[in-house]
Amino acid sequence: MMNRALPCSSPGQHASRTPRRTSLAALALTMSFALVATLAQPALAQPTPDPMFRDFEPIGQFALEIDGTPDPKAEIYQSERARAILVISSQLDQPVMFNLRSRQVERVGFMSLAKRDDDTYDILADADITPVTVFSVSDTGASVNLDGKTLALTPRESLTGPHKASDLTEYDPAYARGAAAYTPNDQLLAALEQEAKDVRVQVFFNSKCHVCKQMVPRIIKLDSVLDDSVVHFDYYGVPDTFKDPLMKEKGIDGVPTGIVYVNGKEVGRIIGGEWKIPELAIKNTLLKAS
Amino acid sequence: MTEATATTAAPSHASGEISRRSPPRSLVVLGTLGSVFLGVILLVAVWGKAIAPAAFVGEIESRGLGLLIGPAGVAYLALGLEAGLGVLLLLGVRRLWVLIPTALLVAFFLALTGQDYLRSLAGLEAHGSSCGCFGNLVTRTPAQAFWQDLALMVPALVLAFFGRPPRDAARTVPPVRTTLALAAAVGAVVLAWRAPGLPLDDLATRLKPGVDVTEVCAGEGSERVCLDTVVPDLDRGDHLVILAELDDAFGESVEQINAYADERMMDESGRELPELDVITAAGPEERQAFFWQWAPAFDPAQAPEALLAPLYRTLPRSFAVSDGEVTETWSGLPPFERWTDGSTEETRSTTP
Repeated sequence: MMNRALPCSSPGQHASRTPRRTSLAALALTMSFALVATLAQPALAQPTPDPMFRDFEPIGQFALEIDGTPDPKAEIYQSERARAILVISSQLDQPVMFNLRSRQVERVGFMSLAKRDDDTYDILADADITPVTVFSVSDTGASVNLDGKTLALTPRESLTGPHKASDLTEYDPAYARGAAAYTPNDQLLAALEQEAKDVRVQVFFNSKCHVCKQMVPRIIKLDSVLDDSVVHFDYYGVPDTFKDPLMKEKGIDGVPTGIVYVNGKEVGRIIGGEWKIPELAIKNTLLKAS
Repeated sequence: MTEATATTAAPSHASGEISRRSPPRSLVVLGTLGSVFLGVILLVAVWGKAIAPAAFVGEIESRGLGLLIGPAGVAYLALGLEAGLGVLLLLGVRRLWVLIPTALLVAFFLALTGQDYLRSLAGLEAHGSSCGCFGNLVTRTPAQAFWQDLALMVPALVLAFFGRPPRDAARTVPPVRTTLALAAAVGAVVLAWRAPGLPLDDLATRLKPGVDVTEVCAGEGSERVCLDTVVPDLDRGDHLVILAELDDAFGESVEQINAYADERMMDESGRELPELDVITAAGPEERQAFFWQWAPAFDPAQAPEALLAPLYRTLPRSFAVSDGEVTETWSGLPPFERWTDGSTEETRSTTP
């Protein structure tokens, strides 16, 4: 959390009440002080994160249940470095951390958390972390009794049916991180932006499919940069059973699969690893169709 | 061959078969070529399976062919038989007592690959990893396995049968060649028995130094998956990749892998430690359970078994990749100490 700099008094007010030479010196001194303070401010205000308990990224694969009732507003973060999961919920007095190293649930003081601009959290050095109790593990998740409540982290239901990219990034922030990390090829982008016909790509995916997790963020990135073009994307989440009427109707037996339509007519499909460079895959599909 | 032959039945002149007309010389030549060709195919297949016997045993087991002697027994028996018949055919022995078991063996292989092919046509998953009869060295789709086996073995067998000279029709046992065949059969079984302990991974699998990871793929169409599909950045930079089964034995080694991951994450010396990737065939539930039980500092990537099976004999198996090319392989975990100084320690105590 960044502290705001204190406002400085206006140097012009001093100038009106003192001799000109003195006022210039005072102005210079004040400006120097302000400059030094401004430069030093980030270093002074930047909290020092704990070397291990840092880089907690928002995740979407778990849901929090309190006494068997889902808490959809709970914020869940994971740090690979810390090997811990941080849970923030309005139903809990304090954030709690499932520490996988110690297998303990630990309370974390609010003042010990520092939220960064990228929505990740760090726990500050010398933080107020209080081990509470050992959590129990099942095949699907972890649970613990805390203050008379049963907290459980369980796998989240997969996203199914038609969706927009924003639904996916909201469902699992890892999609947004993956999208941010991908840089499409400029030349291929330019070529797609010049498409004259209406192109629609229907992407079938599954939330738990590992290849989808690798490829769909790239498609989301392409979707966002082609937002003003004639190339549009929509997404269809298939259930974990892979039994879905639309999948059957379209003859899809694996994900991620994209059906490319030009002016409403299917012209080709992009499948699995072909999505590695989505802009290339779509361009090639359009070239083959023309 | 001028070796003597031991008569095992009635004198040859009394045999009805000996009196059949000699086939044209061209057919005899073709028959010899067919016999040698079929022998080579069988021996190559024996080699592929004997150096990676676990895959073959697994395939026998998945089909419920263990019978009375168990899947391993059936696998070793089949290997011995295949090796013996292969040597006999290669050495030109085309007696009926060779050709009839060979025909049965070919029919057996075709039944296996045909069953997979039919299952794939029906949209069902093939048994085992669809490795066909060549172990881990050659990976084929069910359709390829069936049609290739049919096209390679049946014509050769037919030629070997109809192109055999009259004396080959006699039910005789050429002692030297038969002894060699028996030695080959025993050798194949011994090789299969001892192979897991021998450093043959690079020989027995498709994963070896020099391999381009973008070329390591399995499946076709919507099921086609390559290593760089599973780990998209594998074709760039330096990676240490571990192929693993998420069982308790691997769980016990997570701490060692975590130590490397920690050192990589917390290293501030500026050196670039290779990225760590763990690939498994385990599904989401299994990976979830592993995560909670062992607290890995890595998120295992899931790959289809059909992609992974040709890449290992035993798990875990590891390899180093540099800019998409496999540079080194290891049985077990990578020698992490080569990249670290072994000084990774937890920088914060988490116990009360």
